Amino acid sequence: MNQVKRRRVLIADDNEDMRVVLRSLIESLGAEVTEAANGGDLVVLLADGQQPVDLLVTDVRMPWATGVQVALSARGAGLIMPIIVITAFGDERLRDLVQQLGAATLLPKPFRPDEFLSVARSFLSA
Amino acid sequence: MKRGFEQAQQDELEAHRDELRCRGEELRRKSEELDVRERRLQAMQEELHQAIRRKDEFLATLSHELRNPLAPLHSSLYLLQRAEPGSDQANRMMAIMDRQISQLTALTNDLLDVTRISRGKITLQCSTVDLCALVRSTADDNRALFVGHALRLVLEVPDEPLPIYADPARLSQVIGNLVHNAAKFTPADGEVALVLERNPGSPRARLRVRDTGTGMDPELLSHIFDPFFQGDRSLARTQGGLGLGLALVKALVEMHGGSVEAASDGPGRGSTFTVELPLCEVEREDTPPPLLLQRARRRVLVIEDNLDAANSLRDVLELLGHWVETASNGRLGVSRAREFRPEIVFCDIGLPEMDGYAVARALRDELQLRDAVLVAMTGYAQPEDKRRATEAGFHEHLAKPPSIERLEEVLSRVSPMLS
Repeated sequence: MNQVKRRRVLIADDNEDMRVVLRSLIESLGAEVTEAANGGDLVVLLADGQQPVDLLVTDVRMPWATGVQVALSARGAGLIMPIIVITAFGDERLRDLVQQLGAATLLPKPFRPDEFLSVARSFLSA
Repeated sequence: MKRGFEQAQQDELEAHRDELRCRGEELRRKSEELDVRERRLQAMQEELHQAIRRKDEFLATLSHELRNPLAPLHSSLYLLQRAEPGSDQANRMMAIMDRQISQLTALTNDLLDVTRISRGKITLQCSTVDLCALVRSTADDNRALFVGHALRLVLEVPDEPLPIYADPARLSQVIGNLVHNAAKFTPADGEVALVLERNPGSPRARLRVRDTGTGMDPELLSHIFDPFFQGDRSLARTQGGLGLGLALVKALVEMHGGSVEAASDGPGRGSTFTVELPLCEVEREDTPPPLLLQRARRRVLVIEDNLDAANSLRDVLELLGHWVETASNGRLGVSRAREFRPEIVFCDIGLPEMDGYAVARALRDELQLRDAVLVAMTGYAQPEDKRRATEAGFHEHLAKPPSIERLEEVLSRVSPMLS
């Protein structure tokens, strides 16, 4: 538990209920959470160099830009934080795109909460 | 002689030529026919491909829309199980579960409605209603949506009533769908206006739902009421949903003898949906409203093979103050009923071995249980199911899962039968 403290996790999902449950799950690991409600906010928060992100948890379908689009450009800009992509799309192409991201896991919705926690924990304690 | 022979040969040759010409003509005609058929087949094949593509797109959308509420449901249940009972966290998680279940229920209802409308299986429960009151109450029901999206809701409703002969639940669904659609496609700080008026030229009421949202181009406008149609399927832009809301609006408005039209000055310039409905000038005699729930404690038996469904229905009925027993199949249900002597029996229809209809007939044959009120429960509340249930001896019919409001309504209706 101690080793994941003060880690900062950025959650991006346009569904407020989903952000609330993701925040609760991540906070149960002792990490600090920032939220983005759409692709635009996600870009702004990632570009903010003052507050580095230790883990990005992002939905795919969001207004303005998809989570994967933003994640790909974040990699292009040299950001290397691990990424958990959660999605309700069962698409093989998406799996390939997430693989291209490196240090990224695709969790299809509905995922098991303990599965999510174990992936998040392993990324945060790495 | 020789000349006669040559002549005959020439005639024969000519006859052969004629026949060949005829055959050639016939061949050309047949080949043209084949061309037409081939073009028709190609068009049909193209239509089939399009239908298959639409079906695949719809199944992908459906799967997405079903998974979406399941994700927060699963996680909030996990968190609720670990939260202090009565804590803020527990309340937050229960509120999320409540919202997501409502969303799943609405989705399932829309799907069922579209199927039932396309098979002509929806019957309206009409009475004389005041459209002004209906528009006001539907707007009130949706206020939270506007606060949540930082949108202004403007309501312009005349002071004098506008009576129409309609199914209030279905019309409320129509208005709700239009309001939801407007809110969904209007960015924060925008405005949605509901303007209701008596149409000056005819005995019709006109409701306009006007928004300052994303608007539509002519191509989108021409398909906006098609079932399963969604404007922009790109991941970043699409707004979720099954694309059924407006198709249901059109079908339900037309079932009421009305019409609906969509208009927009183009992308980014807002949209207006106009519904016209015939007014009824003469008040009709209507059945009196159902009696208020009589809060008497009733002996209730729940016969249901799905344990979760049985237990949750028992919990709700106990919460409403009733004495409840459950049975997990038809045979157990009948023998339990002999001992428990329920006043009301809620019985699932799709029970293994002895189905709900057989249970009802068995209960009807028991002298001591003849006065019990029987309520059938099925996944589909189709008119055909209702007819079969009535024939088997059921008094009421409930679609599963019943909401608390619907349960209370049924209990309030059956209470007078028992007193």
